Amino acid sequence: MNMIFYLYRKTFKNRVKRALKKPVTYIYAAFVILYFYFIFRSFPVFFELFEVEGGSVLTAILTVIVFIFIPSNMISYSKRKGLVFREPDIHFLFSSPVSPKKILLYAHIKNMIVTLILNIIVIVASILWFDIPIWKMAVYFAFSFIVENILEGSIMILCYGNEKLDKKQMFAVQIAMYLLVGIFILIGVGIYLKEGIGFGPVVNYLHSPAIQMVPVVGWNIAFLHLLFIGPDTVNIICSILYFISVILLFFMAYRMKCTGEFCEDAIKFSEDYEAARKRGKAGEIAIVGWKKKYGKATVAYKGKYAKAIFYRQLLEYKKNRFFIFGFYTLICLLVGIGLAVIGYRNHGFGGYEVFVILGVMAYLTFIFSGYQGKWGKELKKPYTYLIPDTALCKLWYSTLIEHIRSVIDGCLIALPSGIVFGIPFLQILLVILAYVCIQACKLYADIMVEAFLGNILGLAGKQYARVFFEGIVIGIGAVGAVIGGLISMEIGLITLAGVVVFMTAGMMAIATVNFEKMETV
Amino acid sequence: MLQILNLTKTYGKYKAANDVNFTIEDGEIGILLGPNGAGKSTVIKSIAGLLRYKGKILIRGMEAKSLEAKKIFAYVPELPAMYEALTVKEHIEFIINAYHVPVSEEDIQKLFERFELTDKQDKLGNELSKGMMQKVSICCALIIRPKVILLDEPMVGLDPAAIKELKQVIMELKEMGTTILISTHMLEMVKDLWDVMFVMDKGHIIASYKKSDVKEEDLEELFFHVTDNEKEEEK
Repeated sequence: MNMIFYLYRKTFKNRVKRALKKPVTYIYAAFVILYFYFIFRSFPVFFELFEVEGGSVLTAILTVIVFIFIPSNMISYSKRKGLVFREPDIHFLFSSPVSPKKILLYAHIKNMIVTLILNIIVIVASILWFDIPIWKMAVYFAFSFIVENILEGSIMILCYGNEKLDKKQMFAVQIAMYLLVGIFILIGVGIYLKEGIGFGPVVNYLHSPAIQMVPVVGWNIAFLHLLFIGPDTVNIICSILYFISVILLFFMAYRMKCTGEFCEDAIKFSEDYEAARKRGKAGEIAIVGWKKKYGKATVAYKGKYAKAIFYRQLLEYKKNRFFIFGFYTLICLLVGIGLAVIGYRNHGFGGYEVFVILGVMAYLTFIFSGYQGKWGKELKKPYTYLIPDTALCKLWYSTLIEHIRSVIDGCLIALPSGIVFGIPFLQILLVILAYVCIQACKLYADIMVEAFLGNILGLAGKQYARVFFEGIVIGIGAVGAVIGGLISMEIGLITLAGVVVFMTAGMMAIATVNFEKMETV
Repeated sequence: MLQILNLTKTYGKYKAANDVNFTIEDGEIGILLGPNGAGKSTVIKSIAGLLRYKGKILIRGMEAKSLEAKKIFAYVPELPAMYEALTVKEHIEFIINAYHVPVSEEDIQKLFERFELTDKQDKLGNELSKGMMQKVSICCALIIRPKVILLDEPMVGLDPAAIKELKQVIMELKEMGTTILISTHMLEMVKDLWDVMFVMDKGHIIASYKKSDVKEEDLEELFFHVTDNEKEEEK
């Protein structure tokens, strides 16, 4: 295990050294400290308000954590997924004379780091908020971090490292894992049918003896009940069963022969994971194993120079199954219908329908901040810079389809609700125009931030910076809209669109820098 | 010695490697050639232990999957990947740990000197160019003093000086009795090196030559002779 610890130790040390050299680390650290400070200050108020008992709430929270992590990990392992090996691991580790089981444990340690951080947060919070004795939390740490990782590590080795069970038998193991989850759902359905929906039934579900009797996962929960709530027949028996299963699984994993046949599956998962990670960084859908399928399509290029970028994007979209429409289009449609239905039931929004629609549109713009259109990819292609045209034209034609999408999305939100509320057609049009302007503002703020802060900030930092600039523009636009709105609704909306367009044009002019040269400012 | 015996690798119904057999003796340099999609990468990844396969791969008589075999085997992949938070020197130290080989600081510095990495040893993995990564990858393979070494397109990305040095290193390894297998498309680069040559197409070994048998015949001509014949037979 020496070389595994060497790898982790050096990686950690070098990462910390590098991070300490970047000023942005200190800004992030300040944010994180503030965030946790406010969380720690606000939760006790919540507990006092609802007069809840510490041990019971803690057990319920820990049960939820068990539900989130253990079953999903077990299902992943049974599919030989869930362990992330990076490209250098495949290059250096897989062909080295390191025992395959140790290689599996090396990847498992990455998951353990997440568990360790979670455990530390739980322990500190439990002592500070729930007044749980320190000795109990020490026992909890030994149980949750050490015993549980022995169990998970054993299951992981048995599933990944197994070379005796064929595909059909492994599929049966997967089914068994899903059945375990199915039992939890069935118990939940049973409690729902008996007690209905509400806070009480949820608490009863989390403390239910039936839950504690579910093999392995439930037995883990039983020990939490034994530790924090007190002994009863069910939790004592189930806790004993849990420890017996941990010991048995550990010895089975220890004795099992493993020559490293898992490498092929591990490499496949790692490649899928790496691809998803890259897609995520580029602001695309980041589902592991998901591959975009393209159909056949043609496009007639009507124009020259930078216009070719627009037609090439159009061709790519035509090859998509849903053309330029995506998940966000569906959201817009649902929001539009939802607004119409709620408004219809409530007989409008007290004369503020236009503002409600605009507010929802602005909210959606802020919430769905991660999505990045094709323009981001254009910046990574050398062809973009070689096209003999101005940077402004390249920027415009790289983003044109995004504006068309905004028009469609705006229509989907504003038309259903606008028609139901009987808003004048001109006002609906102006609302859609305002939405397109807000989206354009978001788009060019994004490109501007990429140009000037792309090398300094990470993904999250860039998003915050973009939201900051976007907020300033929309804020000034909103003030303009209110002042204009004193005269008439139309003038208010035109003022909003006008102010946003004017300031967005400024950002657009700055953003053209991105299309001048491949490197950022 | 490296022995590939009845190696078959299937992806669903597709046979990427179909009953592949070849042997490279100690102190011999084998060249694995073939057009794109011939199955070379599949064979190489199988030897490196990255794929499941049917058949046997023996390294000096030991199962390639065994830890004992892995201790004397080195692999330079086509696309090197570095740990981004590890320096060049730390990569070497990591490999020394993983293979548990006695290597002195002097040995490490000599190797760095040969591949002009002396002033780059404190650079992190993510600060290296592709060519530099390839040099580090080669150094990591050489530092364990392998008895069998597998090089997949080792010259790609290297500068002329590094190519010259690598050729020199390969000849030295041969002198020391190391078995060497090189997979490449760059025929010009290996024309002076090879002892045995295997040509693959559609998952099969379609021809193999010993340099001692073909004497002065040009490597390129031999390769095209085999692959053109294969195409004509198909027609």
